[in-house]
Amino acid sequence: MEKKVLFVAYQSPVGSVWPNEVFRTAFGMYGEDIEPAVLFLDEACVTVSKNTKPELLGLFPLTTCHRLIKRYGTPVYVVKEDLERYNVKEMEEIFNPQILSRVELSDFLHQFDLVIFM
Amino acid sequence: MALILVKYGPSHPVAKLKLETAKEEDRVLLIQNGVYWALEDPSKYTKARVYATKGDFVARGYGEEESKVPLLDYPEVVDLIVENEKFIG
Repeated sequence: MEKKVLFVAYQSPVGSVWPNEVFRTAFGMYGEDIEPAVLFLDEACVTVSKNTKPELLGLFPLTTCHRLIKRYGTPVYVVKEDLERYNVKEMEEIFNPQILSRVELSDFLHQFDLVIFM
Repeated sequence: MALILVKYGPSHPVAKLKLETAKEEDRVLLIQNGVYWALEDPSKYTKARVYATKGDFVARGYGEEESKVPLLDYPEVVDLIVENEKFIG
């Protein structure tokens, strides 16, 4: 049976590479017949904002992930309370994030065989 | 049943979240700076059963009697890892 793996980023996409690395790692799973998913917690939730552009500071852009997310349809999850706390108003459609509430997190994490915080 | 690995102390948001989302049947293993949680009664921060690695705890200057959770040596840590199918770390 296919293993379900969740990669979790919790650091900001600007100034830390982790949100990008979470996607790169998830895309690598498709070669192993593993079904990956991605969860953005805390500061990492601004990754899904339409207006987040690390490249404005000369940093690695998030747009490099867009093509592969579209191809694989990698499920992306964010937490409602984090979106509110970090004032994320407009989300990038390509990520098509599914929104969880904080109370759903426990059951959600336990749906996966492996949950890796990066 | 999942094994939850905590390697950050009480000031880290992700460590707190892992402990909050743990279920009663899970096992939590405190390693590295996660052993600072062992100074507190675990029922205050999680529903799961909590263990800590003895080496990390003692290396941080504590006596074994100061731990509020069972301390495991490395063979016991390996057993705990093998026993649990799911992993959150």
